[in-house]
Amino acid sequence: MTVTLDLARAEFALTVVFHYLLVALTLGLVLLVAITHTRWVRTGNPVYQRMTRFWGLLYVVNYAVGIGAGIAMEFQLSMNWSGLENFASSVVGAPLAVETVVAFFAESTFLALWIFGWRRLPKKAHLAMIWLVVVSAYLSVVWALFANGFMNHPVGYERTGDSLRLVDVGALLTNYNAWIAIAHIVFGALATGGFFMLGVSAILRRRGRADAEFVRRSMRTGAHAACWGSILAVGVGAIQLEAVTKEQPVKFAAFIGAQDELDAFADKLRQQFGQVDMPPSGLVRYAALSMVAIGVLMLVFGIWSLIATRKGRVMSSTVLPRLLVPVLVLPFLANIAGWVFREVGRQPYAVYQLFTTGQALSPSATTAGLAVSLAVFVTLVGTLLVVDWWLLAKLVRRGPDEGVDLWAAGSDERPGDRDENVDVAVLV
Amino acid sequence: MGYATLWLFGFGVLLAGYLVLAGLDYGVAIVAPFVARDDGERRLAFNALGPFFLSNEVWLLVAFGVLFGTAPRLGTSILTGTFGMAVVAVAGALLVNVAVQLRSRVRAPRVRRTWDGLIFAGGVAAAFGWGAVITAVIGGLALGPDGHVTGAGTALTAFSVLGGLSMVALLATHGSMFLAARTPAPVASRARRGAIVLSVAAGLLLATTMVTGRLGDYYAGGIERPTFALVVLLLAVVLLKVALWLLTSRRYWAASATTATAVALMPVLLYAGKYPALITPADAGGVAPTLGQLVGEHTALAMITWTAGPVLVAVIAVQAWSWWAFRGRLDRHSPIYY
Repeated sequence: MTVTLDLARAEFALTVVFHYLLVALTLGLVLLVAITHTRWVRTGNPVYQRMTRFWGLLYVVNYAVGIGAGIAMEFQLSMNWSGLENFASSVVGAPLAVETVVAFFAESTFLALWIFGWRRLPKKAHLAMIWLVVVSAYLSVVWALFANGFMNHPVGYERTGDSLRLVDVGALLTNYNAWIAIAHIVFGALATGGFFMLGVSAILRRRGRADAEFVRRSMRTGAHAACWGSILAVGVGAIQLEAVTKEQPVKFAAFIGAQDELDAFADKLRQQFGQVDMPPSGLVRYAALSMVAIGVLMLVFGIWSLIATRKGRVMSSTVLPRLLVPVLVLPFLANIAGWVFREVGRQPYAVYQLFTTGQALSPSATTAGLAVSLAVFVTLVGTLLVVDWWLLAKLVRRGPDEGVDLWAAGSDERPGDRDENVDVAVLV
Repeated sequence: MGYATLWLFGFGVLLAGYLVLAGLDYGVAIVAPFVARDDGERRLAFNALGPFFLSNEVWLLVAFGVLFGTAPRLGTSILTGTFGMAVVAVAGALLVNVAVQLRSRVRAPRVRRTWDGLIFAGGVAAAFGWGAVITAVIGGLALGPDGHVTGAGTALTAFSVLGGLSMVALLATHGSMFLAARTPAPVASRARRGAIVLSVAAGLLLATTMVTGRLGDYYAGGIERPTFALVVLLLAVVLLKVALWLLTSRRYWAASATTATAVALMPVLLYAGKYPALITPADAGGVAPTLGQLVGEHTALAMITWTAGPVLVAVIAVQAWSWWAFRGRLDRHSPIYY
């Protein structure tokens, strides 16, 4: 049983980490792409059009793999964790169901129209498509966190027999635990997108792949997102930590390393549920500490970047652009560390103080079945994540000014009348 | 009609929508290596799906996401009761989704050929997996006396394997008909020839599945209305024949719509044959859960209905408009991305 549980845990943890590495960038970048696109429509300045295409391409590539990882997650919930689905569908499954419709359904549909509507749609309608994508992307954070916020801090429910019943929709949708996490995640994602833009612009500049104007404007946009995103994420994070001390004393005990409290809690749990696994307190503690440390670094680099790009300068510092390339990795690490703190720190519960992760496992799950499923999905999603980064690196090295031969070479019926085809598709 | 009934049938509709729309993607993925011979032609095939691809694929997440929220035990029973086949289906769907979007991002021909291989494998896996899952659910799952799934070992039978193969042939036909309608000459004419062979194969496989299920006693007491189910299945076979006739009289979109109807009949078969006992035991000793046990409770269903419901309808309308806007055959002015 415990081997099976650990396999299911490992599978979900790995998929969710891979998924979030993709999602953090998608969320941050899509907003910056929409802002750049808006500037192009407003000013008609062609540099914004090139920026929209280049950053938009990186966004869309990353989004593609993000959906893949999302599929692996959604189905795992029902295949491996049917105990949780059956117990808490009203309060966990229901908000996730709304998320699939108001977020994924709308997001994919409007993104398709953005990609293929470059010349087919009127300019403003085309711009509206990317903003609808932004809205639905952020709605997915909101609805996913209603489910996750409930798992961390249950509200508005009633226990009937072997399942939970939603009695107060308002309480579920105004859960403080959810909203404070939503704010933290949104600003964290914004900073992730900003640092990505800064780091990639630094590479473009060093390799001479883009003109000064392109680099300058991208860096300024990235610096704003990185600076304000970091300040707000760190600020909200501090408030959130206070909520954790009140609502989840065990998580906080792991954070400050209070072993006595953890032992006392383990005894209490053993009496209530029999044998249960305590969270690995070292992992929780160091995840939290590294998140905080990286947050401070992001603050420093965010503010520094904003100062260095002020008054139309490309970058007044010579050291900073070199540092920005490795620094773009930091927000990703902080995002993952934050999730480890939140979710591993919630163990051994699936729904805090109501339902253990062991109870959440599918009763019919077998060790062999889970081993196969883990091998399939972790390999598939892990490989695609690496491919995503390899593709992003390749596209960055190619730069924004290449890659407009829309019809592939070798197709005979498409004579290379490039002028006519240049604007046909949004990206290649 | 209560929320529960609304969403039980809602899932049927969403599942049909998923199979019809993403079925086009899987069908094109399966036939692309045969009807599109070089990289340029492959791009034509995938960009024929172009503006529809993302919105087709997302029906998978929506159909099952809504199911997990509105009828949680129906969802978990289907997926845990057919575990291995469901893994194949989901992994295949995941692969097609990502691989089609990434295949043209790198120019090296070797890399693109690798992606094309993955797209083909994903298309076959997704079609086979979902076909087998649906057939296994029709046949019945391993259930305990409390109506909960006890395992997935019994789901893999000759019946479900044949059901999976039928779905591969059916979606391949569906994809070919679409390519015949939306791509230019060389690809379209090969797709047309392919559709003729494939639709015959699909008809034969569907009939074989039915006969095997009957003779091998694979759906013992699981089908409430066997005659009705039989009529739906025969109707699907007849529709395939009609589609062929429409194809030879060069009415390509009508032919496409006809195969789409045939695909949509598969979930209809499931519901018409089994409702109200959608999950039934394969062996004596198991007990079928009641409808009330399968669905979620009132407040949660009301929340889903009034938040997701209007958005669902609005987005489907936008998708319908985009089909109208991009209905033309691909030409040199068409947008290309995949």
